[in-house]
Amino acid sequence: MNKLNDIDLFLTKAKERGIACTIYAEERDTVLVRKKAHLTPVHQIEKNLYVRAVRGNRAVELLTDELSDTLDLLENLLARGEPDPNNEIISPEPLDESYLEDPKLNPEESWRELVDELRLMDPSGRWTGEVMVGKINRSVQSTEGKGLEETVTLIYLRKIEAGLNLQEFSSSTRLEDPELRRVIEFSSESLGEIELKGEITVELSPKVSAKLIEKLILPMFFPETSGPRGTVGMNLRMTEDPRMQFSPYSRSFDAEGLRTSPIAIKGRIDFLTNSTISRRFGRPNTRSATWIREGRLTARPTNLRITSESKEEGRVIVEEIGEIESYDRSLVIVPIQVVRKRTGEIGLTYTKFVLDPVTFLEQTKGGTMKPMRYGRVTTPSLTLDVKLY
Amino acid sequence: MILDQGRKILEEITSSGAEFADLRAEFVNSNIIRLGEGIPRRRNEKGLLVRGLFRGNWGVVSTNQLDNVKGGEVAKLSFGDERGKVVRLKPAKIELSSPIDEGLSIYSLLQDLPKIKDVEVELIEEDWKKEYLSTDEREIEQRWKFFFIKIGDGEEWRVTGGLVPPSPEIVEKLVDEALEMRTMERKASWFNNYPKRILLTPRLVSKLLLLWIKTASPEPPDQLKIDERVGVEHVQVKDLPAPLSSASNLFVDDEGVEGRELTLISNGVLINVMTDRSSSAYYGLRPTGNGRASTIGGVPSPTPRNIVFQCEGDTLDQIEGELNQQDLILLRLRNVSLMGNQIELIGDGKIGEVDKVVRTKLELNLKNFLQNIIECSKDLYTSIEWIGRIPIKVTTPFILLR
Repeated sequence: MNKLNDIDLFLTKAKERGIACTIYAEERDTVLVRKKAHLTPVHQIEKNLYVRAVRGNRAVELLTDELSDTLDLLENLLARGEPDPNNEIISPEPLDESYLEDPKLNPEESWRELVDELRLMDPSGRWTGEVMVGKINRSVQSTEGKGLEETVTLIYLRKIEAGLNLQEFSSSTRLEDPELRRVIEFSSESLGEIELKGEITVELSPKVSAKLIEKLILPMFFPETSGPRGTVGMNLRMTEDPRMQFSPYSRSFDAEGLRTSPIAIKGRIDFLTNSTISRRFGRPNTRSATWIREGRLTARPTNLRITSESKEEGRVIVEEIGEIESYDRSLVIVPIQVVRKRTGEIGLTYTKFVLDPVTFLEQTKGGTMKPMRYGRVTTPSLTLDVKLY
Repeated sequence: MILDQGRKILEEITSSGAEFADLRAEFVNSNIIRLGEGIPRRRNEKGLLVRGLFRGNWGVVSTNQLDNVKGGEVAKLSFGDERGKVVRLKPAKIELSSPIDEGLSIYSLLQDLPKIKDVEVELIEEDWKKEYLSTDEREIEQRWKFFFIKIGDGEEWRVTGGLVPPSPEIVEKLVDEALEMRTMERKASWFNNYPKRILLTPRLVSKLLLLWIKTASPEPPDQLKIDERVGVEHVQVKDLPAPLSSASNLFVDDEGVEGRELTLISNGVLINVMTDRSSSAYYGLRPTGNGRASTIGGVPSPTPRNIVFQCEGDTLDQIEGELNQQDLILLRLRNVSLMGNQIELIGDGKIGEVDKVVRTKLELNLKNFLQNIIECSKDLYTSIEWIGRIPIKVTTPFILLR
């Protein structure tokens, strides 16, 4: 309550000076346990206040953790801003529902149990990885309307087989989420070597598909991206879904306090917007306002959900890839590391294919493996024709 | 300011059974202007890292809520059977401050700047204050102010900085270079032959050198190859305490350790590695003052400060004069990927004396990278590279590689 009272008082004083203001507050209370050479638990407690202030069409942006002495600072900065009629502070909307908190979770007990379950204390040193458990409280307060807040539970697991380049990871808002079991139960298999070459239909596992989509497709939604924006092909359906119950990237309202809802992406991908960007470009507001860490209000996707009617089988399943390399503005190189044959044989491979993200989006088809959630992307396996080098 | 509160926190941790504890508080106020955007930005950030070592197990709290830290909480976090150690140091009280002219500001530069088009320019001023306190009675206070200019040419940001804001002339020069690079990129055609020799610019040498350094401190320590030949005879690489003008933290690292001049490679032989307090105990070495955190209030790890790479050589004109059409001058890296010891580079450059821009893909062995040097330029050039929020000053020559 203290925090909201402070913010309320600040907003009242700002209004008296003729300053319209939105404050997006994020408080994180998490324990991160990282096992590399040593196991180190770090309790992270962080409160950040992102302030956008507008007066007479001039805007300023401020990242801080306390509001004392901030009004004079805002006045100084406002005098240095340049007028832009698109700058405005909008009224937040009332919260309709919030479902992202796991009320049963006790972070203090859970992180120790999860470290144990992932076998990070195994004296053989076979497993390394990370456990993060905690809560994030988000709120929006504004001079232009009533504020709103919600709490998001965050559980993040990563398990790595030391020595081999194999790992599994997942994040969730609920301990009972089966996607977390996938990490806990992850155990590597003995790997032979599989030689692959020529033109071939490959089926990318949901993990590999999600990695490619996160790296290549997600930036197409950023307003700042100057590169090509692709078109979603006939074989896929894509939704920007801020309301996925188990995803900690979900949110009931954006950073300007507007209620979020799923957006079906059809045809060419357009960038997402917030209130200022939508006015500047004459586009609808997609309610995607997001503060990025450098202290700038922009627009970002939350969760990208891919579905497909088709179930095309590839000759091999690509289970793991290396770091995706930028080859050119429009091409990337994807190094394949682990493949599984249809017979079940799994092995390391040393081959690559070149991918054009625009073509990938248009021509790829749904595969035979059911959708899984990796970070911000939920996707089934995806099948495409590639030439291996 | 935080030190009185810090002493109380350390006492609480010690009374909970810690054999060692320390804390670091950081305060960073930044002004940021992105030209043409018209929205002034400000970041007021702080961070506190409190650590305690309990029977070999670490407990760590990282926060920007300085008033809420309780020593007992650190003790509750320690977990496992880790047998961690830390190197103890003699008590010391150090206060360091770079000369700060409070009147200097990036805003004063704005009115003199010409209209800039086609590249993104960001001006940043950062005012830093750090305080450190430990149970081995080290008490450090440091303060400095630094100005950065970032030029984005569509794909990457190039950064330069100093104790005063850059002059309009320097901004113009950097913008021209970025525009030239973009024009070059548009003209580039693929070069599919394997060049015989490659001339790397100092910026590219810096990037490769930092990658090489990252691989030079293996865990476990029995794989440490001290006294192994890693470069040609005349290669010298040193990591120096960061001088006042270097944008990094000053002479003391984020664990209260005074930096010392550290020779990493002497006459082509690896003779030292960089360590923080924890890895020093792990390796059984004296700490080198390289414990640096890549985020505000983050956990430190061994990180370079101020790298100087030298090898005897000719002037750049002499080296360029000897190049032929089978040689490549690599001017810009588009991508660096590391797979084991193999680095794959994709970059733009020029073939020998011909003024033709090409894009090419090269594979180098990182382990042998310094052993493949044919020649270095006599003159050295300095750039700033980044690991998270840490600027690293790197001074290198041009090098000609086999």
